[in-house]
Order: sequence, then structure tokens, then C-alpha cells
Amino acid sequence: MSKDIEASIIALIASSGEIEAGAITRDTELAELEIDSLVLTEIVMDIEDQHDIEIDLNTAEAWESLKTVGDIVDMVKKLVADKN
Amino acid sequence: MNQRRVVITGMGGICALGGNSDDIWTSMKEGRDGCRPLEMETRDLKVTTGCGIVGYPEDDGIDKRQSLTMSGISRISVIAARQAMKQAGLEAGEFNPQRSGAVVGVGIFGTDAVDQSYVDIFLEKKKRAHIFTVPRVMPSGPSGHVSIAMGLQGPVFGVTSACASGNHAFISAIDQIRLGRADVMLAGGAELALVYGPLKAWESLRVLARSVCRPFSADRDGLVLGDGAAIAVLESYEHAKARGANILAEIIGVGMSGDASDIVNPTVEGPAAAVRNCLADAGISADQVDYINAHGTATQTNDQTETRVIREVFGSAADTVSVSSTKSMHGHCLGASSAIELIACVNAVREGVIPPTINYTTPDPLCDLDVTPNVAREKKVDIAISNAFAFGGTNAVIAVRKI
Repeated sequence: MSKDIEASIIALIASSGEIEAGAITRDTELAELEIDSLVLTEIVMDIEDQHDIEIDLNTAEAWESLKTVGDIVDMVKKLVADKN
Repeated sequence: MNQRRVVITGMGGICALGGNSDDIWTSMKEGRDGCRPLEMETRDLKVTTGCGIVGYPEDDGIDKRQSLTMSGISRISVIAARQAMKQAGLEAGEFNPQRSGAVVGVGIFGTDAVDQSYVDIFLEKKKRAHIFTVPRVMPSGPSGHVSIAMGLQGPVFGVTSACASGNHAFISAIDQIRLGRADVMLAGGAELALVYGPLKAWESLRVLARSVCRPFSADRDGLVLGDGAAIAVLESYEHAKARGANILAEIIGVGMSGDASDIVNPTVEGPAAAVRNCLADAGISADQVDYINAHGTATQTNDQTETRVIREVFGSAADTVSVSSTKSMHGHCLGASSAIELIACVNAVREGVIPPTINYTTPDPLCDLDVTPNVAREKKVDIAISNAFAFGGTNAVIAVRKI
């Protein structure tokens, strides 16, 4: 399950940023992917839909608190675990 | 008053008559009817026809990420703006960005984005609207996107006055040049009316034609809505001359007025004042005008009132001036209408051809003007004016001269 979350998030980031999924790992910094704050918010929204969770972040905060792909994965895993 | 002269050096457009200003003009000369069955999910709409866009480019050249933030009104504005810049021979690096701007008129807003939100939320029960709904919907989106696409860093804003938005946009842009704030302004209008929400609203107003748009014809029964955009490159005469640009026509005068009367029923005095103000600004008399591109919506009220306006301002010259409503061909594209109609006026003075009022069957004694029925006419045209008399009683008229 938790591997699935990581893979699905990487796939979403890859499609939003037009990047090879294989080139993205937990340690990849979002800044390296040239993802801006609005794209990041879009990705967060897609993740919310996929996992039926609500991430309480506005666009500016998302950029401040999420630096790497792993940060997003950990946040989503926690929210999914809390929901269950 | 000694003021800077303003000329037109490029025009672009996309509507039911074609995907660029040359095709649109050719269609106008041929009297082509852009009205077709609606190509959309019409749900419970009673209206079945409209003047939908043709010739949308397979590759619109708009960056994918940028496109996500755009309503269709912004996309067609950028397409028209690119064409206009190309015709004007203006490329990035060849003009001063800080002395260049954009004003795009929009009658409604990003209708496609609003409709999509309602479908998402109410029909598909999604939790939220698309992330870019706000920038897609805003009526200043087209002007912002044109500035982004073309690198225009001077005055950039949207204007709105319902069906006169295009002319008000031209006038606002001309003012920037006349006041010395800019040397180059891209200006025009854009609209998507063939969207469920606006169609449903227009249906309620009961001014839509049953099937055909017949301005000034006794059997006219209303307007046909259309989608489209047109953008012109306006420059100070000195700027255009200095860079050796091909000048298409000069805008010699503009006039505005407000009816201050009724939100939907026009007066004669208001529109007449706008025409007079335009003639005065141009320093010409009514009998010098060879062609009037009428507002000509094909509602009973508009066409009768507009005839009285022309008779009042033109006096005996009203018997000889050529009039036509090109809305009979491209439909009523609301905020884009007068922008598309500038394509008619500019080409009329360049080529000496009056585009026709098509679908005309029966003379109406209350519209006793030479409305150029059904077939274009060759005629020497030095000066043309373009009327736009909108709901709200917001009137704007522009005069162009051959150069």
C-alpha cells in the first residue's frame, strides 16, 4: 500500500511536469523538477482525489513546507493512515 | 487639437468566416453565411444554430502549461494577436516592450470555464473547481495573455461594454497612443457565446433568430450568436513610418456616448451623439463618410433605431451612404463583434468594396437605407465608420480612412 502511494504520486508528478517517472525518487527536490507553486497545488489536488483525503494547505504554504517528493509521499501516507 | 495620429498596421482574427483576417474578409466579400448547427451538447436548449469558429489551427502554438490557465477567449485572442503582429512585421526585439500594450474587450467573461465549473460541481459532484478557474474566467484574461505571448509591458487591461466592447477597446488603446503612454497597442475583442450558460440566458431574452440572421430585412426575427476574436496592431503614425511599416488604414476619429436611459432599449439620441462625436473628433462632415458598418443586430428594435440614428446624423447624405451589417455573416460575437467589423471597414477602404448584408429578402420602410443587400459592391471608399451600440446604452463609434 505505501509503495503504491509513492509510485502513484511519482506518476502524477511525472505527468504534470512532463518528466520521466524513472528519473524521480523520494529525494528529488521539487525545485529541480521546475514545478511551480500552482502546478504543485494541482498535483496536491489530484492526490486528494486519488486517495480521497483532504490536504489542508494553501498554494503558498504548500511551496514552503514541501521540498522533496518524499515530503509529499510522507504527508499523504500520514493522512491515509489517519483516515483508516 | 494637435494630437498623435494612430494607424493600423496589422489585423488578425478568427470567427465563423475564417481563421485569419484575410479569410474573414474574403468570406465577407463573397457573402458567406457563417451560421451552422451548434456543435456542442445542447442539452435542453431550444436554439440550434450559431456562428461557430472555423479554421482553428491544428497547432495553436500555445504552450501547454500556459494553455491550462486560459479560457478559449484568451486562446483565440492570442491566435489573432500573433497574426496581427506578423502582418505588422513586428517581432520581439524590434519594438520597445515598455512602450507597447494591449487592450482586449470582452462582453461576458471566460464562459467556457464558468460552465465547466458548474458541470464539475453540480453534475459530476466534484469537490472543487479547476485550479485555474479564476484566471480563466476573468475578463482581463485575454489582454493579460496577449501581453504575455507578445511581450508587451506597457498599458495592459481589459474593457467591457457588452456588444460595444471591441470598439471601446480600440478607443482605450488609441487614447494610450494619443496621450503618449505607448507607441504600439494591440487591441480588439474576444467572445465565446456558443456555450450552454450564455445561450440559455440569451434564449430567455427572446431576441434570437429562429434560424437566419437578416438585418434590416422586414422579416428579420433576431440575432444569431457567434464566437470569435479579432485583434489589430495600432501604432502612432510616426512609429509606423519610422520603421517602414505597411500602413493598412488610419483611425481618424472616435466617439462615445451613454444613453442614460434603459438597460436594453436604445435611444436615438445616445447613438446619434456617439456618431456625431466621432465625426467631430475626425474633423469630417457626415457627407464625407462612404460606408457605415452598422451595429445591425437584426432585432426589430435595433435596426429601426439605427436607421433613425443614421437619418438624423446624416440628413440627406443618408440616402447615398452605403450601409451594411456584416453580423448577417459572422453573427453577433458580442464583445468581439466590433473588432471583427474593423476588418470589414479597413478592407473596405483598402479595396473599395462594400461587404453585403446577407439573407435580405424584404424592404422595411422603417429601415430605408442602402443596406447593400446580399451582394458586395465595388465603390470608392475613403472613409468608413463602424457603429457599436450596446446594451447598457454604451455606444462607441470609430472612423477609419484610406491612407
